[in-house]
Amino acid sequence: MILNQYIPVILMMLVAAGVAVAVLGLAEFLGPKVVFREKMEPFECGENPIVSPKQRFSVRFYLIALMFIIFDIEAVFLFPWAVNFQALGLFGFVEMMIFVFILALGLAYVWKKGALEWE
Amino acid sequence: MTPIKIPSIALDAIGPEMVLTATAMVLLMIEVFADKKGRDHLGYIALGGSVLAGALAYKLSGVSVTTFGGLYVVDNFSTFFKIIFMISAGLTALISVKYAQDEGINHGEYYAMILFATVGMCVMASARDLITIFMGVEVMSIALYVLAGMTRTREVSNEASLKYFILGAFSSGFLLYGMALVYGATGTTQLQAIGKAAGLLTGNPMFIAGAVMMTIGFAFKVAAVPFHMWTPDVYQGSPAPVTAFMSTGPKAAAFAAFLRVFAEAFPAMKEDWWVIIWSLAVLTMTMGNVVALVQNDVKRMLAYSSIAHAGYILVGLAVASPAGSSGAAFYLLVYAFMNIGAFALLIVAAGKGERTTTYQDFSGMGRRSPLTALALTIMVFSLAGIPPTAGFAGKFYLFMSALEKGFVWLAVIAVINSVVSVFYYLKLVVYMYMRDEDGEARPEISVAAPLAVAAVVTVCAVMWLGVMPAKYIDFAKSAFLPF
Repeated sequence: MILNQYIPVILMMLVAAGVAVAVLGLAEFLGPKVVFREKMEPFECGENPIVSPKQRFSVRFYLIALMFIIFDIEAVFLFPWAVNFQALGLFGFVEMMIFVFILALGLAYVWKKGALEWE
Repeated sequence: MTPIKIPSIALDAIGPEMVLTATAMVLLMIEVFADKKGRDHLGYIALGGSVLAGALAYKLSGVSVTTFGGLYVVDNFSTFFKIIFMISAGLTALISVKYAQDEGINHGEYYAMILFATVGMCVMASARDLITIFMGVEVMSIALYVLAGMTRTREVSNEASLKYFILGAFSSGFLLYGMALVYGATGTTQLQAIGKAAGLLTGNPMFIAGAVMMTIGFAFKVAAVPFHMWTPDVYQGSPAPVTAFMSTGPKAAAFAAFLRVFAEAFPAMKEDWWVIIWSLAVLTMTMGNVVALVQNDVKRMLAYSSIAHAGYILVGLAVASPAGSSGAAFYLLVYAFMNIGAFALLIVAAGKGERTTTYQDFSGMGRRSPLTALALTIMVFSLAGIPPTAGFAGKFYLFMSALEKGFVWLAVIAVINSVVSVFYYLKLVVYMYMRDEDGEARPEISVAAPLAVAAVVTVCAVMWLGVMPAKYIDFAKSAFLPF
């Protein structure tokens, strides 16, 4: 069956998993262990945690993230279009302008809704 | 630089979709830029957009074009379904006007989401490529998840939205995995190319697994038993106009994609998959009807009845003939009118906040509001399939297609199920006309103008399609798929 072709890939995955487990296991068995209080504390960029991490994030973070993705995707489409601008001609230009216009409407919508205001 | 070859694009063929998208964007702009008074017209703008899109779709009847490099097809089948979607969207906008103002959800987003969902539905009906189908499914579903939770302050609405989202995402996963396997087995995502390749692949486990998983994904979307568990809670918790919409338009869209995939991509498996669809149909209608019998809440009863109706429509799929597919299409048209009509009258009876929706709440309706009771009676007669309403014509045509192909038992079970359904539909009529009020205070029944218009339109449509169905059945017949 065609699955035969995948045997090297499966072997590669097995080897990779084996190496990872072996290295972690060796470190666990052979490495010296010095346990002190600060080391056992939850790690937060080297700082002592001052607040409980179980707090709510403001929903604004999600809004910003969503908008980032949308405009990121726009950029993803814009780059190949810009590279092939001349080959695509007028048709490509009009199509892309429609696309950008629709996204601009979306931006106007979130702006006016106040989603961009932090306070 | 070599010019890039752009596939032929027939923009006139996607007129309905463009009109809907533009209307939805206009609604969003009105929401943010107009003052509060401007929002009163949102519902009517959405209605206008749907009517215009419907007219454009109707103008495309008889046209048969494949465009966008074979991804998109406009034929009588897709046109017929698009007309169903526009009817569903337009009537939903109409019955939402009063409701949205009462419940504080009269926002541009609400109507825009309905129209975006409708665009997704159009894509599903017209797609001739697995990826395009999936895109349509997601455009429709994501808008519906939001719509289900539109009444943010009601707990049941939040529950409905979350439940729908989780199970909907799950079913999309099934669908997508099935598509991936089918692509893996055939090496193409074009439906007709899959159909050609499938002939050489009989018995290929990857292909069968893919087809089965796609069936599961579609069965989720049409709420067929045993993949129906989300339906009652979602239909009951969502705002009533949204439930009316979800149970008609998106259901029709899921059936459209279901039919097209099986007719064009899997015709080689016809001998095998009718058993699966046959069982799904029998389970769905039996389970929907039996559970609807014991419901106390009319909205929940309508949710189970919607499951049962999906079962009747699956009969058309199991038959897998041109008559079966056009029978299913015609039934979905009829169902759009009668179910939205029933929900319009439920909104009238339920009052603000949808507090009074049990059978008891309908007692004495015949005296309190004779016209509402009469209209609702016509709707439930049609849902039960009693002549001379459209429900009868739809069922007759659908079950006839089963008999023509020798599916006698399937037709018998379907008819028995229709008889069972009469009990719980007529229970409503009994409460309205033969029970006196129990003395509990209920809100005064007042029918707002848009709701009255919607009720009159649906009643007329149900009677007209019931008495003079020939012309529309002929249209549905021209919208068959070659099995």
